[in-house]
Amino acid sequence: MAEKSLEKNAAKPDYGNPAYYTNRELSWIMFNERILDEAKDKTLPLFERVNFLSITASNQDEFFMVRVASLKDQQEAGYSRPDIAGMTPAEQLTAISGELHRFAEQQYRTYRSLIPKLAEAGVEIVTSHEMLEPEDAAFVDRFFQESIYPVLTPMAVDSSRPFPLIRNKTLNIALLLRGKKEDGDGELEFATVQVPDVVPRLVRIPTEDGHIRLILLEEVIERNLDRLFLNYNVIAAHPYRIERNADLPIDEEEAADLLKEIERQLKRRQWGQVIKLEVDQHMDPRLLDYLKAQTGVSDEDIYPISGPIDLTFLGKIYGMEGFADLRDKPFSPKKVPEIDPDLSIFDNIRKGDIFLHHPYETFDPVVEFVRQASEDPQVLAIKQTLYRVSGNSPIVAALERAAENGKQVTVLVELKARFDEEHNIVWAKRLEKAGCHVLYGLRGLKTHSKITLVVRDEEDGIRRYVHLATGNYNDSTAKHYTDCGIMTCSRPFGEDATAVFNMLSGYSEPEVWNKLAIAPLWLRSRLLALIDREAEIARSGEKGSIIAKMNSLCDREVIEHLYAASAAGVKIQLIVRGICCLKTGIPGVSEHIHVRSLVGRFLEHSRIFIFGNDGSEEIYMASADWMPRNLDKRVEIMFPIEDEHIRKHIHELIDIQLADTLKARVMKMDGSGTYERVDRRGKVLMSAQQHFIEMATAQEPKEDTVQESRVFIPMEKPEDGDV
Amino acid sequence: MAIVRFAVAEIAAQEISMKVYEVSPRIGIRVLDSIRRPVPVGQDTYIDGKVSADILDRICDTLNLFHRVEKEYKVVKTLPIATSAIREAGNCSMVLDQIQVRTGYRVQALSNSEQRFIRLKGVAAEPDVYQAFNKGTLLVDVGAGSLQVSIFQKMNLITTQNIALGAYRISEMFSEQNGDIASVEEMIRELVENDVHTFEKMFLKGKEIKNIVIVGDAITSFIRQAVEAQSGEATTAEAMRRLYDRINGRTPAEISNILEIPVEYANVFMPFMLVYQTLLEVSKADTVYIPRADFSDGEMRDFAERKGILKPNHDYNEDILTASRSISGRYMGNEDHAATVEKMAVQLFDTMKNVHGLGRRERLLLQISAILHDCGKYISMSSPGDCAYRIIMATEILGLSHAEREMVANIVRFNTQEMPNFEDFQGSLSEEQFIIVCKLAAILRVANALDRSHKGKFSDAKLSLKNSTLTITTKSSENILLEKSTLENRSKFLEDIYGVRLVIRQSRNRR
Repeated sequence: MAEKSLEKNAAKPDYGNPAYYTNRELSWIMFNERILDEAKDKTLPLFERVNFLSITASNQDEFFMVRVASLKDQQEAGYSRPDIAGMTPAEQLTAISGELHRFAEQQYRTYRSLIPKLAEAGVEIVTSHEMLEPEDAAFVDRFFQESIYPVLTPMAVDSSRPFPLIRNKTLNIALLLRGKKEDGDGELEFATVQVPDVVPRLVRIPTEDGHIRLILLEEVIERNLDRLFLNYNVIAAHPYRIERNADLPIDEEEAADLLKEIERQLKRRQWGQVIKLEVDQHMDPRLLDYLKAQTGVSDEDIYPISGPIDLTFLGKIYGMEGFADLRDKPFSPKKVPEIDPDLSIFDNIRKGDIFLHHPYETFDPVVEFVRQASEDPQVLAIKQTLYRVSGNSPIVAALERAAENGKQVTVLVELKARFDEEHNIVWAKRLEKAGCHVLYGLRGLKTHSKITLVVRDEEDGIRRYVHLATGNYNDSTAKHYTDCGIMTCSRPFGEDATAVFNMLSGYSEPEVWNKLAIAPLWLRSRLLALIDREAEIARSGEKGSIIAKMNSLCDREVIEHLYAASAAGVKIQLIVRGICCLKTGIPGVSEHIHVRSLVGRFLEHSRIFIFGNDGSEEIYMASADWMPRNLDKRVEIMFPIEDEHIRKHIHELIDIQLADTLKARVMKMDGSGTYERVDRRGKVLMSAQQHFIEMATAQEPKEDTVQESRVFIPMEKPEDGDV
Repeated sequence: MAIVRFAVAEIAAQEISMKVYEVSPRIGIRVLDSIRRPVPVGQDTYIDGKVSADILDRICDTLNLFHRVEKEYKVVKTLPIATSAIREAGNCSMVLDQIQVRTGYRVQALSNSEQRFIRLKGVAAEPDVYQAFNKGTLLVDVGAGSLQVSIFQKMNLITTQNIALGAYRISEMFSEQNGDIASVEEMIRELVENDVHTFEKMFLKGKEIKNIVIVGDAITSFIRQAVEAQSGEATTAEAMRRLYDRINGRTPAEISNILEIPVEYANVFMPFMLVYQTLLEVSKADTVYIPRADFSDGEMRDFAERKGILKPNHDYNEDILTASRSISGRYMGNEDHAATVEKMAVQLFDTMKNVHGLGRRERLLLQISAILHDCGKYISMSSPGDCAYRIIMATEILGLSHAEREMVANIVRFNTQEMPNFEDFQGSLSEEQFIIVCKLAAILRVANALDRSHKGKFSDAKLSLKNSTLTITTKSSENILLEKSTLENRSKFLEDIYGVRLVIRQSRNRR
């Protein structure tokens, strides 16, 4: 490889120039701004806007715990190498802090604009306890006494009682107290009390006309603080919240038992270094100084908030019963027209490859695939990778049953799936108990690929059925993540799938791959070769073309090759939902690259790559984004789509997304890397997601008798979080 | 016949592998799964002389994982085999015993000729490669411990030669020469050149070597990828040269990067490549075949053919006979005499079917023994038996197991020497095998005696067996006194063993 890249370096212009790149964190903040734009969008139903605002808050929490934490680590370790955009960790942190302070202002301006609208719609939020009517005040005080007081643990701080450990992401109230017996200038004492997370954040106050009146839990507590500190006068009391470094420092080389090591580190996540302090903007400066000293944060990590801290409670409002007219029209995933419900899933797959487009089409066939395999007497073995599964997953249940039925079941449960570690340990243990062969992932790599293999003993020999997808085996997120998958029993795919699981089981790589490209060993070079081939085609005077849809694009090498391809004249259309470090419209570098981002009711999650290949187009799907972590640190799979019918279908889907004028933001062609709405003049107003909803609804086979799904639908808490 | 699933578990020099197959007369052999794990067994055997405890652990750990794979496919039978890296280890039998105790696999360590033959069977099952055997073709099988070069022509295996030049020996030469590839190249060239030229002169009679077929563990698959040869399709000497130039002078780490292959294999890549390249240049072949079939595939095919599930695509017995005649020729054997003895021996064998109760395989051993029966005379006229024994024991005959070769050597030895009792017998044959040797030697003696004068006097003889009397009737009008008197001495042995009395009749020619 060294040899190859040397040859290239000599000939090409400097596509690695930092000026040609956007810092990935700043790009991510722009993505969160696009979500905030949705919250500001007056054309959207009110509850949807409220929900988008809530998402910006939870997104940012995760961003802090992972990305900012990692930059802090780098800074602390004295690492000062500039990133893709030429910024050192310290410079990045300063820039991020500036952007996020600005962003917080926008968030709360939006919040304040939504409050009266909610009230108009019948959801009244009493923003401070001082505004309560006497009757309501009496109610909340009673509620405090009965339901809150018993679970509160006020903690005073003095020389014998040090500052307590404040748990990550919890909301707390900081107080300044003065003993009642002291004179006016007696010594001030500090105390803190956690707003309990076992009590709902929103307290509902009964109203005569039945409309909803809510007050935040911390307001109710603040109102009653003197009951907690009977011998003191409360001088000042303000909410605050901290976030801690949640990067798990797992030493995989040393850890003999990964399972135990992760369990141990999970407990520690609660106590990582404080990297963000959010405080009420009116906080008493003496309190603020005290908190600052105790948590050790610097000024740029302090965020004064002009409203309630932690807006994720808005998600609860979104989830309230009723108010159907304030949400998008509910949509339930449609049946897949290619699947004949009278046949087994295996018979269906034998008729031809099946394409699944979630959430427009139901995830049921995937669940059925594993479920039927678990019961089918001809099935010998089931192998599957699990990254994030839903609570009470029907897939996990089916795998357990399969093992109990004597099938050979091999499951790779990725213990290192961020924020799902705890969850996954539980599944891993359960599956093991049922007799499955459980792999906990690979040392130094996360297994992010989504693949299932069913080995069936049929009359004409072994036949392998494979499901490959861009999204997780999670029936819950499959309802609001857009993902694609295929089911096939083609022999080359089956052989490759077998080889994938052999590699995951610690055996050597196969001699050849028929169809799949696997990260971290082959995917990167394969992608680069595909991009370079288009550049070659363009140089030879033919039409080079690349269309790629993904969640994030931030790999320097890939972007350099894209720039080179653009410079050679390749037309490149990218649909990148989140981070995009590539900049469009740089003269001589990226004039032929167009980037758009789609943000809508469903989270865009599929990865689809189309290479023109001089007329004989190649279409791929993958579990991987074009990010260094996906290409170098994870097991990922890219697979080609070969069925003519499916290829046509995918092309249509991509064309529709490229024609979206309502939900798309396009990167400006001025080299700034910033986004704007699509210029709609003279164009049809279209939302791709809405269009797909209508398509799926129209295509769903109409049946005379409605057949109920045999799969139970578990209740679960809504899940957020990317990937 | 229904489809049946088998597996082959192989302990090779660089890796432990298992391949799962489905087999039936209709579908042939289909590979279902192939798993491998690098375990440097050869490193131990060829550098320290024996397999270490650590490597033994790794072998057993890996083999134990295979039980799960058997279940995944409901495998009917697994054939566990080991090749030179185990066979040549000083503690081979202890290792095999430990493996059986710890994994339940009763691993069979194949002899060199068995190993090479099975390799050949796998390779010859690929139609393109098989077709190549029609022209002068060199089959180069590089192993961990030695190199096997075989020559084919007109679809027949002409001869084969084992050269002590395995991948590990070459690695050693590298370090001895401080990595000076040019001088190692020169040494290898000298070692193989002589053999190849002798081959050419002796067996190809001036005809060129057109093709070269390269095989050898996992490495050849990486070579195939590197020269971008499609499976089964041939590539050119030129493409091999280019690959050689690409990696020449590179460290294993660099080779691993350039060719994108695991570093465990990159370590021995250059030694393999050197042998292939040298033989390519020496032989001046222009077409290179890199078969996909590996050792396990050969074993699977061999098993399926032995069990009658598949029909062989090639008459390997004919190869063995051709190779035996070549050997005889090399030791100046009398071609006509050998042919007469062979014919007589077969005739005797067939006539005596009911009394000896032996089968086709023994018939083949008798034929080989007949062909080789006087090769010892090339060295010594006074002790031809011993010399023949030694020649045969030192000569590879692809297709014969080690035990079979020893049987042939003894049949030939006891053609002229006194037959000992089993208790006094020096050798590694079982009593059962020893008895077969006796039975066949007895027939060979008679056959040989019938052509004592080397004039083919009994070439038209008719044989009949009635009431324990074997009657040989010849129409030949020549004097058969010499043969008769020799027979009187030799047929006693026949009588002892079979209880059959021999009668010679010369019928008058009524012209």
